[in-house]
Amino acid sequence: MFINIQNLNFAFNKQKPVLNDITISLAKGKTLAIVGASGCGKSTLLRILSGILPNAEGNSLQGDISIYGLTTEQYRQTGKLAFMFQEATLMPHSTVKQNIELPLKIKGNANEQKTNNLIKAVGLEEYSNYLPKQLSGGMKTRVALARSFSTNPELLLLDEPFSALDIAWKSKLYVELEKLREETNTTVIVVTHDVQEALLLADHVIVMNSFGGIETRKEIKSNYSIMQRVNNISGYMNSVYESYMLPIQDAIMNGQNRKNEKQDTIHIA
Amino acid sequence: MKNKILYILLSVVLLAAWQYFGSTSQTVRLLLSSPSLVTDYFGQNHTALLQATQTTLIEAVAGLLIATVFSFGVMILCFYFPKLMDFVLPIMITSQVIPLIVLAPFFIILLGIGLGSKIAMAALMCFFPIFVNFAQGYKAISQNIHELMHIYNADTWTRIKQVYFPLAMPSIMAGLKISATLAVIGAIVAEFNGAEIGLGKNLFLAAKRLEPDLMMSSLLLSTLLGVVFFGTIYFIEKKIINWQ
Repeated sequence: MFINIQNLNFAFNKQKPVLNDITISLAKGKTLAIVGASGCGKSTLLRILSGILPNAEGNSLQGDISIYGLTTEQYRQTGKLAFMFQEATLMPHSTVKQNIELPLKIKGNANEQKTNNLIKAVGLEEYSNYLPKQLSGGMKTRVALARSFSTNPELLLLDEPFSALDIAWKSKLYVELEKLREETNTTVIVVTHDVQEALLLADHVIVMNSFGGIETRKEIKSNYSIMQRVNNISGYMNSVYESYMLPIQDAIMNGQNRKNEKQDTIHIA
Repeated sequence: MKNKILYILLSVVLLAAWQYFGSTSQTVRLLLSSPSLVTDYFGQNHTALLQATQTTLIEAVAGLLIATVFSFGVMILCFYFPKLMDFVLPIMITSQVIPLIVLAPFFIILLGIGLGSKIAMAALMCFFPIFVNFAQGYKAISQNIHELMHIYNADTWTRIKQVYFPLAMPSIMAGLKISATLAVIGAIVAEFNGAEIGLGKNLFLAAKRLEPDLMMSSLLLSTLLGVVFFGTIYFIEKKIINWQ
Protein backbone atom coordinates (compact mmCIF):
# COMPACT_ATOMS: atom_id res chain seq x y z
CA MET A 1 0.00 0.00 0.00
CA PHE A 2 1.14 3.53 -0.76
CA ILE A 3 -0.09 4.97 2.52
CA ASN A 4 -0.30 2.93 5.70
CA ILE A 5 -1.64 4.39 8.89
CA GLN A 6 -1.91 2.00 11.84
CA ASN A 7 -3.60 2.79 15.16
CA LEU A 8 -2.78 6.49 14.98
CA ASN A 9 -3.49 8.56 18.09
CA PHE A 10 -2.72 12.24 18.31
CA ALA A 11 -3.15 14.98 20.93
CA PHE A 12 -2.06 18.61 21.02
CA ASN A 13 0.15 19.38 24.02
CA LYS A 14 -0.92 16.13 25.70
CA GLN A 15 -4.47 17.44 26.04
CA LYS A 16 -7.67 15.73 24.85
CA PRO A 17 -6.96 13.35 21.93
CA VAL A 18 -7.79 14.77 18.52
CA LEU A 19 -7.28 11.52 16.61
CA ASN A 20 -8.27 8.20 18.06
CA ASP A 21 -7.04 4.85 16.76
CA ILE A 22 -7.06 5.71 13.05
CA THR A 23 -6.15 2.93 10.64
CA ILE A 24 -6.10 3.66 6.90
CA SER A 25 -4.50 1.98 3.90
CA LEU A 26 -4.53 3.57 0.47
CA ALA A 27 -3.18 2.28 -2.83
CA LYS A 28 -1.21 4.48 -5.22
CA GLY A 29 -3.23 6.58 -7.64
CA LYS A 30 -6.43 6.38 -5.60
CA THR A 31 -8.45 9.24 -4.15
CA LEU A 32 -9.56 9.13 -0.55
CA ALA A 33 -12.11 11.58 0.83
CA ILE A 34 -12.28 12.19 4.57
CA VAL A 35 -15.59 13.63 5.72
CA GLY A 36 -16.99 14.45 9.12
CA ALA A 37 -18.39 17.26 11.21
CA SER A 38 -16.29 20.34 11.96
CA GLY A 39 -13.64 19.77 14.60
CA CYS A 40 -13.50 15.99 14.19
CA GLY A 41 -9.79 16.04 13.31
CA LYS A 42 -9.93 15.73 9.51
CA SER A 43 -7.53 18.57 8.87
CA THR A 44 -5.28 17.45 11.72
CA LEU A 45 -4.89 14.06 10.06
CA LEU A 46 -3.96 15.76 6.80
CA ARG A 47 -1.43 18.00 8.51
CA ILE A 48 0.15 14.99 10.20
CA LEU A 49 0.47 13.28 6.82
CA SER A 50 2.10 16.39 5.39
CA GLY A 51 4.74 16.31 8.13
CA ILE A 52 3.76 19.70 9.54
CA LEU A 53 2.26 18.79 12.89
CA PRO A 54 4.63 16.51 14.75
CA ASN A 55 7.17 19.32 14.55
CA ALA A 56 5.48 21.28 17.31
CA GLU A 57 6.80 20.62 20.79
CA GLY A 58 4.56 18.87 23.27
CA ASN A 59 2.36 17.13 20.70
CA SER A 60 1.74 13.47 21.34
CA LEU A 61 1.76 11.20 18.29
CA GLN A 62 1.43 7.44 18.67
CA GLY A 63 1.01 4.70 16.09
CA ASP A 64 2.61 4.06 12.74
CA ILE A 65 2.39 6.13 9.56
CA SER A 66 4.31 5.30 6.46
CA ILE A 67 4.12 6.75 2.98
CA TYR A 68 5.84 4.56 0.45
CA GLY A 69 7.75 2.98 3.33
CA LEU A 70 9.00 6.35 4.62
CA THR A 71 8.05 8.42 7.65
CA THR A 72 6.03 11.56 6.94
CA GLU A 73 9.09 13.75 7.51
CA GLN A 74 11.27 11.62 5.22
CA TYR A 75 8.55 11.61 2.60
CA ARG A 76 8.12 15.39 2.78
CA GLN A 77 11.83 15.78 2.14
CA THR A 78 11.57 13.79 -1.10
CA GLY A 79 9.62 16.73 -2.55
CA LYS A 80 6.89 14.45 -3.90
CA LEU A 81 4.22 15.91 -1.67
CA ALA A 82 1.89 18.83 -2.38
CA PHE A 83 -0.69 20.47 -0.15
CA MET A 84 -3.63 22.68 -1.02
CA PHE A 85 -5.18 24.71 1.77
CA GLN A 86 -8.76 25.90 2.19
CA GLU A 87 -7.54 29.39 1.28
CA ALA A 88 -5.61 29.61 -1.96
CA THR A 89 -2.53 30.80 0.00
CA LEU A 90 -0.99 32.60 -2.95
CA MET A 91 1.97 34.95 -2.69
CA PRO A 92 0.24 38.34 -3.02
CA HIS A 93 3.32 39.99 -4.53
CA SER A 94 3.71 37.35 -7.27
CA THR A 95 1.83 36.96 -10.53
CA VAL A 96 -0.19 33.88 -11.46
CA LYS A 97 2.78 32.49 -13.35
CA GLN A 98 5.23 33.20 -10.54
CA ASN A 99 2.91 31.57 -8.01
CA ILE A 100 2.58 28.42 -10.09
CA GLU A 101 6.30 28.10 -10.69
CA LEU A 102 7.23 28.87 -7.06
CA PRO A 103 7.59 25.21 -5.94
CA LEU A 104 9.77 24.52 -8.98
CA LYS A 105 11.88 27.59 -8.23
CA ILE A 106 12.32 26.42 -4.65
CA LYS A 107 13.52 23.08 -5.99
CA GLY A 108 15.86 24.96 -8.32
CA ASN A 109 14.39 23.62 -11.57
CA ALA A 110 12.00 26.28 -12.83
CA ASN A 111 10.51 25.09 -16.11
CA GLU A 112 8.69 27.69 -18.18
CA GLN A 113 7.13 25.18 -20.55
CA LYS A 114 5.70 23.18 -17.68
CA THR A 115 4.41 26.30 -15.94
CA ASN A 116 2.72 27.43 -19.16
CA ASN A 117 1.14 24.00 -19.60
CA LEU A 118 -0.30 24.16 -16.09
CA ILE A 119 -1.60 27.70 -16.67
CA LYS A 120 -3.29 26.36 -19.80
CA ALA A 121 -4.65 23.32 -17.97
CA VAL A 122 -6.50 25.53 -15.49
CA GLY A 123 -7.57 27.98 -18.21
CA LEU A 124 -5.70 31.03 -16.99
CA GLU A 125 -3.58 31.85 -20.07
CA GLU A 126 -4.98 35.39 -20.26
CA TYR A 127 -4.27 36.00 -16.60
CA SER A 128 -0.71 34.72 -16.27
CA ASN A 129 0.65 38.19 -15.44
CA TYR A 130 -2.16 39.12 -13.08
CA LEU A 131 -1.61 39.56 -9.36
CA PRO A 132 -3.81 37.59 -6.90
CA LYS A 133 -5.66 40.78 -5.93
CA GLN A 134 -6.90 41.00 -9.52
CA LEU A 135 -8.36 37.47 -9.51
CA SER A 136 -11.71 36.08 -8.38
CA GLY A 137 -11.93 33.40 -5.66
CA GLY A 138 -12.37 30.67 -8.27
CA MET A 139 -9.33 31.83 -10.24
CA LYS A 140 -7.21 31.89 -7.09
CA THR A 141 -8.23 28.30 -6.33
CA ARG A 142 -7.29 27.31 -9.90
CA VAL A 143 -3.86 28.91 -9.43
CA ALA A 144 -3.41 27.00 -6.17
CA LEU A 145 -4.48 23.78 -7.91
CA ALA A 146 -2.01 24.33 -10.76
CA ARG A 147 0.73 25.14 -8.24
CA SER A 148 -0.01 21.86 -6.42
CA PHE A 149 0.67 19.92 -9.59
CA SER A 150 3.79 21.86 -10.61
CA THR A 151 6.16 19.41 -8.91
CA ASN A 152 4.43 16.29 -10.26
CA PRO A 153 3.46 15.22 -6.75
CA GLU A 154 2.97 11.57 -5.92
CA LEU A 155 0.71 12.56 -3.06
CA LEU A 156 -1.62 15.55 -3.05
CA LEU A 157 -3.34 16.58 0.18
CA LEU A 158 -6.36 18.85 -0.20
CA ASP A 159 -7.83 20.57 2.86
CA GLU A 160 -11.35 21.68 1.89
CA PRO A 161 -9.94 23.40 -1.18
CA PHE A 162 -13.22 24.15 -2.91
CA SER A 163 -15.38 25.04 0.10
CA ALA A 164 -15.56 28.74 -0.72
CA LEU A 165 -16.72 28.21 -4.31
CA ASP A 166 -20.15 27.91 -5.88
CA ILE A 167 -21.26 24.68 -7.53
CA ALA A 168 -20.45 25.87 -11.07
CA TRP A 169 -16.84 26.60 -10.16
CA LYS A 170 -16.59 23.46 -8.07
CA SER A 171 -17.71 21.32 -11.01
CA LYS A 172 -15.11 22.86 -13.32
CA LEU A 173 -12.37 22.35 -10.77
CA TYR A 174 -13.39 18.74 -10.04
CA VAL A 175 -12.85 18.00 -13.73
CA GLU A 176 -9.56 19.93 -13.82
CA LEU A 177 -8.36 18.13 -10.68
CA GLU A 178 -9.30 14.74 -12.07
CA LYS A 179 -7.62 15.46 -15.43
CA LEU A 180 -4.38 16.50 -13.73
CA ARG A 181 -4.60 13.57 -11.31
CA GLU A 182 -5.05 11.07 -14.14
CA GLU A 183 -2.14 12.52 -16.13
CA THR A 184 0.23 12.26 -13.16
CA ASN A 185 -1.24 9.19 -11.39
CA THR A 186 -1.22 11.23 -8.20
CA THR A 187 -2.66 9.80 -4.99
CA VAL A 188 -5.11 12.32 -3.54
CA ILE A 189 -6.48 12.71 -0.04
CA VAL A 190 -9.20 15.32 0.16
CA VAL A 191 -10.74 16.57 3.38
CA THR A 192 -14.23 17.92 2.96
CA HIS A 193 -17.52 18.29 4.79
CA ASP A 194 -19.41 18.10 1.50
CA VAL A 195 -20.63 14.52 0.95
CA GLN A 196 -21.48 15.25 -2.68
CA GLU A 197 -17.92 16.42 -3.30
CA ALA A 198 -16.56 13.29 -1.63
CA LEU A 199 -18.73 11.04 -3.80
CA LEU A 200 -17.82 12.91 -6.99
CA LEU A 201 -14.08 12.76 -6.42
CA ALA A 202 -13.21 9.76 -4.29
CA ASP A 203 -12.61 6.04 -4.69
CA HIS A 204 -12.83 5.65 -0.93
CA VAL A 205 -14.67 7.69 1.68
CA ILE A 206 -13.93 7.69 5.39
CA VAL A 207 -16.31 9.28 7.86
CA MET A 208 -14.75 10.53 11.08
CA ASN A 209 -16.65 10.92 14.32
CA SER A 210 -16.39 13.62 16.94
CA PHE A 211 -13.89 11.59 19.00
CA GLY A 212 -11.40 11.67 16.12
CA GLY A 213 -12.04 8.04 15.26
CA ILE A 214 -13.36 6.40 12.10
CA GLU A 215 -17.15 6.07 12.17
CA THR A 216 -17.39 4.18 8.89
CA ARG A 217 -15.61 3.66 5.58
CA LYS A 218 -16.96 3.09 2.09
CA GLU A 219 -15.40 2.06 -1.17
CA ILE A 220 -17.18 3.88 -3.99
CA LYS A 221 -17.85 1.69 -6.97
CA SER A 222 -19.07 3.57 -9.98
CA ASN A 223 -18.68 3.21 -13.71
CA TYR A 224 -19.21 6.92 -14.28
CA SER A 225 -16.20 9.02 -15.31
CA ILE A 226 -15.65 12.33 -13.56
CA MET A 227 -17.06 14.16 -16.61
CA GLN A 228 -20.20 12.05 -16.50
CA ARG A 229 -20.51 12.56 -12.75
CA VAL A 230 -20.11 16.31 -12.98
CA ASN A 231 -22.23 16.78 -16.12
CA ASN A 232 -25.03 14.74 -14.62
CA ILE A 233 -24.69 15.57 -10.93
CA SER A 234 -28.33 15.00 -9.98
CA GLY A 235 -28.49 11.75 -11.98
CA TYR A 236 -25.24 10.52 -10.49
CA MET A 237 -26.31 11.47 -6.97
CA ASN A 238 -29.61 9.65 -7.42
CA SER A 239 -27.73 6.55 -8.52
CA VAL A 240 -25.47 6.52 -5.46
CA TYR A 241 -28.01 7.95 -3.01
CA GLU A 242 -29.11 4.80 -1.23
CA SER A 243 -25.86 2.88 -1.40
CA TYR A 244 -23.47 5.69 -0.43
CA MET A 245 -24.90 9.15 0.20
CA LEU A 246 -27.51 8.14 2.75
CA PRO A 247 -25.20 5.86 4.82
CA ILE A 248 -22.44 8.51 4.79
CA GLN A 249 -24.82 11.25 5.89
CA ASP A 250 -26.15 8.97 8.64
CA ALA A 251 -22.62 8.16 9.76
CA ILE A 252 -21.77 11.88 9.95
CA MET A 253 -24.89 12.53 12.04
CA ASN A 254 -24.17 9.54 14.30
CA GLY A 255 -20.57 10.61 14.76
CA GLN A 256 -21.68 14.12 15.66
CA ASN A 257 -24.51 12.97 17.97
CA ARG A 258 -22.11 10.91 20.03
CA LYS A 259 -20.38 14.10 21.03
CA ASN A 260 -23.70 15.51 22.27
CA GLU A 261 -24.45 12.29 24.16
CA LYS A 262 -21.12 12.45 25.86
CA GLN A 263 -21.51 16.13 26.69
CA ASP A 264 -24.94 15.43 28.20
CA THR A 265 -23.49 12.64 30.31
CA ILE A 266 -20.73 14.89 31.57
CA HIS A 267 -23.29 17.57 32.33
CA ILE A 268 -25.53 15.18 34.32
CA ALA A 269 -22.56 13.71 36.21
CA MET B 1 -8.47 68.09 -4.70
CA LYS B 2 -10.66 70.08 -2.33
CA ASN B 3 -8.24 69.38 0.53
CA LYS B 4 -5.26 70.43 -1.58
CA ILE B 5 -6.85 73.83 -2.25
CA LEU B 6 -7.58 74.20 1.47
CA TYR B 7 -3.95 73.36 2.36
CA ILE B 8 -2.65 75.92 -0.15
CA LEU B 9 -5.07 78.53 1.18
CA LEU B 10 -4.04 77.78 4.76
CA SER B 11 -0.35 78.12 3.85
CA VAL B 12 -0.96 81.45 2.10
CA VAL B 13 -2.94 82.76 5.09
CA LEU B 14 -0.22 81.69 7.55
CA LEU B 15 2.53 83.21 5.42
CA ALA B 16 0.59 86.46 5.06
CA ALA B 17 -0.08 86.60 8.82
CA TRP B 18 3.58 85.85 9.57
CA GLN B 19 4.66 88.63 7.16
CA TYR B 20 2.13 91.10 8.56
CA PHE B 21 2.93 90.53 12.25
CA GLY B 22 6.67 90.19 11.53
CA SER B 23 6.60 93.64 9.87
CA THR B 24 4.42 95.40 12.40
CA SER B 25 5.38 93.82 15.73
CA GLN B 26 8.88 94.10 17.18
CA THR B 27 8.28 91.09 19.46
CA VAL B 28 7.16 88.87 16.61
CA ARG B 29 10.12 89.97 14.51
CA LEU B 30 12.53 89.12 17.36
CA LEU B 31 10.95 85.70 17.89
CA LEU B 32 9.92 84.60 14.42
CA SER B 33 11.41 87.09 11.97
CA SER B 34 9.29 87.43 8.79
CA PRO B 35 9.18 85.64 5.40
CA SER B 36 10.81 88.57 3.60
CA LEU B 37 13.63 88.84 6.18
CA VAL B 38 14.21 85.08 6.10
CA THR B 39 14.34 85.17 2.29
CA ASP B 40 16.85 88.05 2.42
CA TYR B 41 18.92 86.19 5.01
CA PHE B 42 18.90 83.05 2.90
CA GLY B 43 19.98 85.05 -0.16
CA GLN B 44 22.94 86.51 1.69
CA ASN B 45 24.00 83.31 3.49
CA HIS B 46 22.86 80.57 1.17
CA THR B 47 26.30 78.96 0.80
CA ALA B 48 26.71 78.44 4.55
CA LEU B 49 23.10 77.39 5.03
CA LEU B 50 23.21 74.85 2.19
CA GLN B 51 26.51 73.46 3.51
CA ALA B 52 24.90 72.98 6.91
CA THR B 53 21.90 71.33 5.27
CA GLN B 54 24.15 69.06 3.24
CA THR B 55 26.02 67.98 6.38
CA THR B 56 22.81 67.20 8.27
CA LEU B 57 21.50 65.38 5.20
CA ILE B 58 24.62 63.18 5.00
CA GLU B 59 24.39 62.37 8.71
CA ALA B 60 20.69 61.49 8.50
CA VAL B 61 21.04 59.40 5.31
CA ALA B 62 24.05 57.53 6.69
CA GLY B 63 22.25 56.94 10.01
CA LEU B 64 19.15 55.65 8.24
CA LEU B 65 21.17 53.37 5.97
CA ILE B 66 23.22 51.93 8.84
CA ALA B 67 20.07 51.35 10.92
CA THR B 68 18.35 49.69 7.95
CA VAL B 69 21.27 47.39 7.17
CA PHE B 70 21.77 46.54 10.85
CA SER B 71 18.09 45.81 11.54
CA PHE B 72 17.84 43.68 8.37
CA GLY B 73 20.99 41.85 9.48
CA VAL B 74 19.59 41.13 12.95
CA MET B 75 16.28 39.97 11.44
CA ILE B 76 18.08 37.65 9.00
CA LEU B 77 20.03 36.20 11.93
CA CYS B 78 16.72 35.70 13.75
CA PHE B 79 15.33 33.85 10.71
CA TYR B 80 18.29 31.46 10.82
CA PHE B 81 18.18 31.14 14.61
CA PRO B 82 14.50 31.68 15.55
CA LYS B 83 15.17 31.51 19.29
CA LEU B 84 17.38 34.58 18.93
CA MET B 85 14.23 36.67 18.37
CA ASP B 86 12.96 35.81 21.89
CA PHE B 87 16.31 37.02 23.21
CA VAL B 88 16.68 40.13 21.06
CA LEU B 89 13.16 41.58 21.23
CA PRO B 90 13.10 42.22 25.04
CA ILE B 91 16.49 43.97 24.72
CA MET B 92 15.10 46.14 21.92
CA ILE B 93 12.04 47.07 23.94
CA THR B 94 14.07 47.74 27.10
CA SER B 95 16.46 49.93 25.11
CA GLN B 96 13.50 52.15 24.24
CA VAL B 97 12.95 52.97 27.92
CA ILE B 98 16.13 55.07 27.73
CA PRO B 99 15.32 58.49 26.24
CA LEU B 100 17.74 58.15 23.35
CA ILE B 101 18.34 61.92 23.15
CA VAL B 102 20.33 61.80 26.40
CA LEU B 103 22.88 59.59 24.64
CA ALA B 104 23.92 62.44 22.31
CA PRO B 105 26.61 63.83 24.72
CA PHE B 106 27.87 60.27 25.21
CA PHE B 107 28.36 59.85 21.46
CA ILE B 108 30.19 63.20 21.28
CA ILE B 109 32.60 61.99 23.97
CA LEU B 110 32.94 58.57 22.35
CA LEU B 111 33.18 59.52 18.67
CA GLY B 112 34.17 63.17 18.73
CA ILE B 113 32.60 66.31 17.32
CA GLY B 114 32.67 65.17 13.68
CA LEU B 115 30.13 63.25 11.58
CA GLY B 116 30.54 59.94 13.42
CA SER B 117 28.70 60.94 16.59
CA LYS B 118 25.77 62.39 14.57
CA ILE B 119 25.50 59.35 12.34
CA ALA B 120 25.56 57.08 15.42
CA MET B 121 22.77 59.10 17.04
CA ALA B 122 20.64 59.08 13.87
CA ALA B 123 21.19 55.34 13.43
CA LEU B 124 20.24 54.61 17.03
CA MET B 125 17.01 56.60 16.69
CA CYS B 126 16.11 54.78 13.44
CA PHE B 127 16.96 51.22 14.36
CA PHE B 128 14.04 50.37 16.65
CA PRO B 129 11.10 51.34 14.37
CA ILE B 130 12.60 49.51 11.39
CA PHE B 131 13.39 46.37 13.37
CA VAL B 132 10.09 46.21 15.25
CA ASN B 133 8.02 46.85 12.13
CA PHE B 134 9.95 44.17 10.25
CA ALA B 135 9.35 41.74 13.12
CA GLN B 136 5.64 42.60 13.14
CA GLY B 137 5.41 42.18 9.37
CA TYR B 138 7.05 38.77 9.67
CA LYS B 139 4.70 37.71 12.46
CA ALA B 140 1.70 38.76 10.37
CA ILE B 141 2.58 36.29 7.59
CA SER B 142 -0.11 33.63 7.41
CA GLN B 143 0.65 30.30 9.08
CA ASN B 144 -0.44 28.58 5.86
CA ILE B 145 2.38 30.28 3.96
CA HIS B 146 4.93 29.11 6.54
CA GLU B 147 3.52 25.59 6.28
CA LEU B 148 3.56 25.73 2.49
CA MET B 149 7.25 26.66 2.56
CA HIS B 150 7.87 23.80 5.01
CA ILE B 151 6.06 21.32 2.76
CA TYR B 152 8.03 22.50 -0.26
CA ASN B 153 11.30 22.12 1.67
CA ALA B 154 12.27 25.77 1.10
CA ASP B 155 15.58 26.61 2.77
CA THR B 156 15.88 29.65 5.03
CA TRP B 157 17.45 31.91 2.42
CA THR B 158 14.73 31.07 -0.12
CA ARG B 159 12.07 31.81 2.50
CA ILE B 160 13.74 35.13 3.33
CA LYS B 161 14.00 36.10 -0.35
CA GLN B 162 10.69 34.79 -1.64
CA VAL B 163 8.41 35.25 1.35
CA TYR B 164 9.64 37.05 4.46
CA PHE B 165 11.06 40.19 2.83
CA PRO B 166 8.34 40.68 0.21
CA LEU B 167 5.44 40.00 2.56
CA ALA B 168 6.89 42.05 5.40
CA MET B 169 7.70 44.91 3.01
CA PRO B 170 4.60 47.03 3.83
CA SER B 171 5.56 46.92 7.52
CA ILE B 172 9.21 47.55 6.72
CA MET B 173 8.24 50.62 4.70
CA ALA B 174 6.03 51.86 7.56
CA GLY B 175 9.05 51.55 9.86
CA LEU B 176 11.26 53.33 7.32
CA LYS B 177 8.79 56.23 7.06
CA ILE B 178 8.87 56.71 10.84
CA SER B 179 12.66 56.38 10.83
CA ALA B 180 13.08 58.84 7.95
CA THR B 181 11.93 61.72 10.15
CA LEU B 182 13.67 60.29 13.22
CA ALA B 183 16.97 60.24 11.31
CA VAL B 184 16.78 64.02 10.75
CA ILE B 185 15.79 64.57 14.40
CA GLY B 186 18.66 62.34 15.58
CA ALA B 187 21.24 64.19 13.50
CA ILE B 188 19.99 67.62 14.60
CA VAL B 189 19.82 66.67 18.29
CA ALA B 190 23.37 65.35 18.11
CA GLU B 191 24.46 68.62 16.48
CA PHE B 192 22.91 70.61 19.37
CA ASN B 193 25.49 69.00 21.64
CA GLY B 194 28.46 70.04 19.59
CA ALA B 195 29.18 70.16 15.89
CA GLU B 196 31.47 71.92 13.45
CA ILE B 197 28.67 72.48 10.98
CA GLY B 198 24.99 71.50 10.60
CA LEU B 199 21.43 72.71 10.95
CA GLY B 200 21.36 71.64 14.61
CA LYS B 201 24.38 73.82 15.33
CA ASN B 202 22.69 76.74 13.52
CA LEU B 203 19.52 76.31 15.59
CA PHE B 204 21.54 76.13 18.81
CA LEU B 205 23.51 79.28 17.97
CA ALA B 206 20.40 81.14 16.79
CA ALA B 207 18.71 80.49 20.15
CA LYS B 208 21.82 81.55 22.08
CA ARG B 209 22.43 84.71 20.03
CA LEU B 210 18.76 85.53 19.45
CA GLU B 211 19.08 85.45 15.65
CA PRO B 212 15.52 84.80 14.39
CA ASP B 213 16.51 84.92 10.71
CA LEU B 214 19.09 82.13 11.18
CA MET B 215 16.68 80.18 13.37
CA MET B 216 13.76 80.34 10.97
CA SER B 217 15.84 79.60 7.86
CA SER B 218 17.46 76.59 9.58
CA LEU B 219 14.09 75.46 10.88
CA LEU B 220 12.56 75.63 7.41
CA LEU B 221 15.50 73.74 5.91
CA SER B 222 15.18 71.04 8.62
CA THR B 223 11.49 70.70 7.81
CA LEU B 224 12.33 70.48 4.12
CA LEU B 225 14.84 67.69 4.86
CA GLY B 226 12.21 65.75 6.82
CA VAL B 227 9.66 66.15 4.03
CA VAL B 228 12.14 65.09 1.33
CA PHE B 229 13.16 62.04 3.41
CA PHE B 230 9.59 60.99 4.06
CA GLY B 231 8.59 61.68 0.45
CA THR B 232 11.45 59.58 -0.91
CA ILE B 233 10.47 56.57 1.23
CA TYR B 234 6.82 57.08 0.29
CA PHE B 235 7.75 57.16 -3.41
CA ILE B 236 9.83 53.98 -3.10
CA GLU B 237 6.97 52.29 -1.23
CA LYS B 238 4.50 53.11 -3.99
CA LYS B 239 6.94 51.80 -6.60
CA ILE B 240 7.76 48.46 -4.97
CA ILE B 241 4.50 47.56 -3.24
CA ASN B 242 1.99 47.45 -6.05
CA TRP B 243 0.30 44.25 -4.89
CA GLN B 244 -1.71 45.49 -1.90
